[in-house]
Amino acid sequence: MSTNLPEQFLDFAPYVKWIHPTMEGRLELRLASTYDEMKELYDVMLPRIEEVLEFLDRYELGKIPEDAENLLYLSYSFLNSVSCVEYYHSTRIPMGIEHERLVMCDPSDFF
Amino acid sequence: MNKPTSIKKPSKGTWTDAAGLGKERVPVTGCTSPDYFEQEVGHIFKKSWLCAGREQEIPEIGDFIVKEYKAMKTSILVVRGRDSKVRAFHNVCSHRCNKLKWDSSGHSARLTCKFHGWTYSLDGKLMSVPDEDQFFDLDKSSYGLAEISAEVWEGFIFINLDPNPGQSLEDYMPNFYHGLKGYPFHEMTRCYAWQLELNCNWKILKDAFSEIYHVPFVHNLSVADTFANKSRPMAHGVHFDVFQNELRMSFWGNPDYVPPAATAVTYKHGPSIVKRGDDASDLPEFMNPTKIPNWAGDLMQVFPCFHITLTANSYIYLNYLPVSVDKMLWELRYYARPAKTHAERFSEEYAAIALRDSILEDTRTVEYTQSVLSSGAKTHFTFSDQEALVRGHHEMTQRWAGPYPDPK
Repeated sequence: MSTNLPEQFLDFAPYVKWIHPTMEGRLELRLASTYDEMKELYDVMLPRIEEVLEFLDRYELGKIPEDAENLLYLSYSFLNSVSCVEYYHSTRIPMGIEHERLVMCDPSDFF
Repeated sequence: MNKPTSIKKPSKGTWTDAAGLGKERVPVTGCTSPDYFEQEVGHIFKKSWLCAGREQEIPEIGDFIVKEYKAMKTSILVVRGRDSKVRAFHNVCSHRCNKLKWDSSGHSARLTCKFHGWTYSLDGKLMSVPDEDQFFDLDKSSYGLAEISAEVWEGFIFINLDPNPGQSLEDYMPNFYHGLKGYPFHEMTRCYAWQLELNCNWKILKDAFSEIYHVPFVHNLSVADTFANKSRPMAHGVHFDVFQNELRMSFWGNPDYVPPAATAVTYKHGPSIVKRGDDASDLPEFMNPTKIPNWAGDLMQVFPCFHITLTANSYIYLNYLPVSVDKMLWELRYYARPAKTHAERFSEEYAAIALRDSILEDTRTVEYTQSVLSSGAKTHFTFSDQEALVRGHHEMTQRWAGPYPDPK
């Protein structure tokens, strides 16, 4: 899988490790990270997130070139950083049970 | 009898009184006694309507799902037949009683046992038996699969393990059955689904999801501010109904809530279970019974283990499945309208993340509760008026399965 990004978002290049196509995969990346790493992703992307969404909305769902799709997946990882930074101040849930115990069912089962 | 009814709280009364509930403390033994658990299995779970999922999981003829009911020691196969009807069968071959379908979902033109190839049609009739002439007077017409009752309401598939259910689904849950007609379940087809095995009695988790009282404490880092503000620090439920087999709490959302920066972006573009201020005027009259302007949602439960929390933009589906007296399987799903743009899809992803993360807060307390419940330190639970649904559920349980054992 490539990690190319659209030209106007090349400054996100240091964060391409957060690109992952599945929700479970993105959660694993979050849980394997430090809070400071999540905070950095949050700080870098928040000021440009509306610009990112505007860019992505040039494309129809399911008809998106690979570099823009990578940006989409990166924006989903940003959402994990939102939970960590705006609420829990941690990559995990301080008074909660572990994320690892949740089994996410394949969403395709339910369409 | 099927007209939706709502309890009216007397001006100086309590919800507990209005619902005709008691006020005494409730023994913990209903959640700790293995014998009582077996009574629940026999008198509740083998007799009542259980939700097995959504019709959209089996859209095509031959699509099937398998539901494992560990406490009831059975596996149920739910199949869409050639006539498009949804049927449910015990997932057991008539030959040597092998489990027929091993996958949790799939598609089959016919149902073939992997053991010796006995093959059934989608409506459960035995079609073919390999080496049939080696059997003795085998009358195939009397060897169909064991069918159980299945009904579909608003796209939810309900099954009943009782060979002769005492009530139709409509008579079992008349208020929701009719009152929720018009809620856009059929539009909210985008689904995020999780399962979680928890070390607690099924009622302990259900109790935790039947009141708002815990929210300012358990969710103080996350969603508490969306429910409470200075004028309503305890975020009281605004209306409670305890019907025969149905329970409902309507709750208020904090209109002063200001979401943090990135959360606000997600609310701008898409759904969220804790987003406030959506227009609810198109929803069925039965919902938001007090017609408050800052209505957030209606939490609805059908005894014993079906739960939906409906908001104007999306809903949560919960199923509390017993495994043993101190173990359960929880099904949690988030349903929303499918996104039409990437920005909406982005917001929907966040709604699912936020739900997933906040329910992990709830699930710690329930396991800690169960871990000390058998200690004998405390013999009873105490419920406030805001916990009327919790009490209502415990009273329903005892109506079906008998009084909780004496804790002394």
